[in-house]
Amino acid sequence: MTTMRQPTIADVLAELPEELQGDAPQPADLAAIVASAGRMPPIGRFSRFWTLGTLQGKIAAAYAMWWIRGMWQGVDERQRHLNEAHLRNAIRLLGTMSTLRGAVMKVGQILAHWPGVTPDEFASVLGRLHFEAPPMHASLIREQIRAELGAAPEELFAEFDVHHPAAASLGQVHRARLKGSGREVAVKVQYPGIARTIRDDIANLRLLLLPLRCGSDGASLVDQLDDIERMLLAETDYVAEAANLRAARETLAGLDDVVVPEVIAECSTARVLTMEWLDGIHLPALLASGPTQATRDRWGELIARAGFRLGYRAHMLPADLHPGNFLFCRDGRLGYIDFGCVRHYSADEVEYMSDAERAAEASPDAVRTLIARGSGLTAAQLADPERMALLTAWFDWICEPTRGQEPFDFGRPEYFARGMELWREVIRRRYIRTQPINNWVAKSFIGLRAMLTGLGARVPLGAIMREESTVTAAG
Amino acid sequence: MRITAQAKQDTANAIRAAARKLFREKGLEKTSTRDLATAAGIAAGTLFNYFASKEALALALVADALDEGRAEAQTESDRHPGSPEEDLFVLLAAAVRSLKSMHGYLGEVLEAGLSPLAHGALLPEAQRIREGHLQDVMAVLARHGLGGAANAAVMHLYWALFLSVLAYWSADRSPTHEETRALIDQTVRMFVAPLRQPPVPTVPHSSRPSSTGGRATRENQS
Repeated sequence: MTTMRQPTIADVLAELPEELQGDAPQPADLAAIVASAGRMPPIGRFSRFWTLGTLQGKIAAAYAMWWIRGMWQGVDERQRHLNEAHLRNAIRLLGTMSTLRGAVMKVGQILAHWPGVTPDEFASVLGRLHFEAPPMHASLIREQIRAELGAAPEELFAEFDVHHPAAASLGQVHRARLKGSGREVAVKVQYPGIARTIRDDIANLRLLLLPLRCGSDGASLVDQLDDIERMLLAETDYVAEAANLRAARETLAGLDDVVVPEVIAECSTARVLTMEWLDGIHLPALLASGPTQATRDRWGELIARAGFRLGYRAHMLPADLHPGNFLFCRDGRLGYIDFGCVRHYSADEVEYMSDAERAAEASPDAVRTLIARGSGLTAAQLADPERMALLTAWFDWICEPTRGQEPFDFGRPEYFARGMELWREVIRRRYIRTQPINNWVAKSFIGLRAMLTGLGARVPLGAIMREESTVTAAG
Repeated sequence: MRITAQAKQDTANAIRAAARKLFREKGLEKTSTRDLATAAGIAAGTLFNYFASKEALALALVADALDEGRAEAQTESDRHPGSPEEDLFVLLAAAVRSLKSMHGYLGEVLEAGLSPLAHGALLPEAQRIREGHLQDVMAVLARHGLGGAANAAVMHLYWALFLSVLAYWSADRSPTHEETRALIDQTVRMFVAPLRQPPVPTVPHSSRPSSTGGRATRENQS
């Protein structure tokens, strides 16, 4: 087995079953891949993107194997051999499930967004693929809209660009113009049957992975799959997303430089979501334009402030933060456009999060108590120095940028890489399973830090956090 | 008394209208020819002057609806020409859409009159459905330069796929039948992909390892 720490993309790809390896991408190919990733693939090449034959799919599967292996570190040699055989069979079968595109692409997307996990060049390719998922052809789009909204898009809208969509992993976004007002809108259309596909795929995956014995606690793997399923399914519910968009728009209305698109209710259903069009660019295009440090800092501050405000005022936790969530508008505003995966804090969770903030500012003992509560530790676990050292280090990493009032330099890759290493270790040892909110918080916090790291921004995260929490408390 | 063509047409229309209503309400099996005749205001035996059986009547309704679907598909493909996959998708999606009012009993109709397992010749109404649809499919393939691949075996396989889509749809309980749309999409891509490939050369029997000790086969004799 290859190294368990910071594998390169080549390491993990080499671990795939042979027939899925194919020709390993060579550095010389990368320029071509990067160039082609910016274009929509022709319709005829659809099927290539539907299976693990894609680079993104392979990377997702390879990382999944690497991640799952980490869970059986403690088991004996015989069982490990058995697990290896089962896992390879599972991944092979995964490759034959043509309908896995939703899950595989999403996993690939999540993995791609964590800088440090993949080399820069691959991150660049995968970063572009966030927005370049395989398109539904025009006939399918027309039929989806006809089924959902009662008429073909050309009849419903004054203009509807059916041929140049922006693709997302579970949906596809088309630019259109409303009849009457002439207002420009973005129409997000969901792949038909994607929710069922996700449920089926995860159920199949569970069955395939059943024979695996992961250390002393096989249930952890099932829990992780439950989490992935929950996150993916949350993104298929456009009614919930519309409600989140409205709540976020209202919450962030006080921030002049942040805009959440307005939902056009009469053109929205459970599988079609129509919202105001924002004219802007995504992160890769912004970075390609060579922004100044001041520009990076400003965008970073807006992202951070919007995030804290949503948390403090609306108790909303966007759990799947990635570059696709944001648009850098030409008028200088930050467009916050994707609320597909949002967790709403319960009253108990709000209290828990407040306690966590207070503990971070109080003493090591307070942190220890909070960790014990948050991770549901037994006395024996609390006395385990290794466990406590890792959990404390993880907690410290989360709090590090918010300690002072000064700008924190997210441009230093060392900070993010260190956090990723700690997170993988925490996951591998299953140290944070007991309080469900922990996983969502971790994903959200990692997402925010990844975004700021990607931007290379210097952001006074602590000062912003305190301002937002004070305004909320006062309000 | 001589019955005019118009009167015949009116009676046929009344039977069709009665059938649409009763099949939708009770399904095919639970609707008797007597029910149909009563609802249409005709004598029980008169119905058979128009349709050989209630199955033939149901198939005629399906054929009528599919004809409307074919016309819609043609209009849409003319307005928005696409790839062969897209044009076939339009054809199948329009077919399914045209059958919407028959969703509750189409499964029974398929079983009674269009089952691939049925013995003997298709009823004329079923034949009309098959020929009409396959003619459109061949026209799509020909338009995209794939007509050469549309031999009898390929079209037979296509027909089985089409019936499977209809069967799936008749049992589809997903919202707005979105799962059927996904199935249609996958079906047409699966069907078209091999047609784009060059044909696999047939290996002559004479070049195969033979257990006949090199005796002439029928193929190399002819």
